[in-house]
Amino acid sequence: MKTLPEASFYQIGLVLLGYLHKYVCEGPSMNPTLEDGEVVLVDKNARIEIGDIVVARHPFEIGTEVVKRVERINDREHYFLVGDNPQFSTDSRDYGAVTKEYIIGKAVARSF
Amino acid sequence: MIKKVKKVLLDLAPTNIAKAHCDGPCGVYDPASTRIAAEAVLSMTKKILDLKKPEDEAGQAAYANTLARYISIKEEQAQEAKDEALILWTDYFKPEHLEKYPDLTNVFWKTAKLCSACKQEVSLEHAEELMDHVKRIHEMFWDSKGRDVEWYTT
Repeated sequence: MKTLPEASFYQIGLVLLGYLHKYVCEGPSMNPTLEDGEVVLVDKNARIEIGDIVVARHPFEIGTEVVKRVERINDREHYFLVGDNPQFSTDSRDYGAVTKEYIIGKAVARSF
Repeated sequence: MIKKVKKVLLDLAPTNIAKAHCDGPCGVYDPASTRIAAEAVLSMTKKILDLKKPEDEAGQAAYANTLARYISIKEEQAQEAKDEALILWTDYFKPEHLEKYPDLTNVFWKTAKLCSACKQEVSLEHAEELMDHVKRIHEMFWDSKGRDVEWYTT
């Protein structure tokens, strides 16, 4: 399972310049990979592959953004997102796979 | 030291929130709420069946009042049991649980049907059958959490 490296000074510089984006994770659904309150840096231009951790817009809750892992991608670029802690996660198992437009970006680093 | 510097720098950047959540208060599920409501249905059903109609005129009003209260509580608690069971079914249990407990969907479906039957009827048989189904929900729920929680009634 892919894990996230600790953010480098270079990546933090990219955040300050607006090329990467800082997200704070709230909730237990990505435990143990990401703890509640942990920061991830998100690249909105990165190519998304199976196994990546992504930030996506919730398909039914306007304004809510979620962090999940891409479990599979089907032929029509539908992304099936699942939390690493599936018992305590609301994800594509509940709301179905999401289209590419819902994917905001790929988490590329973390900061404790 | 390096971590502190990184944190200070990152604090300068705007923060977005990414929810890693579940819909309910995460993990706060317990079939006990279904059991308590189902037990109330069973208790009210027994009380209704045991209630004796008075012969005298004076006792009629008290009898009608007591019977109405028993029926009201039975209906209210049957709906409560149904609501609580459906929350467990739709929010707590996941597709992987279905593989482990193949009877899961059937048990919840029958539980909901029995709650409706207990509302409509005064049936000791259905009230007891409802308790049997709630017991099965209790077993599946705690087994899915890897905990051995003994079934009990109040």
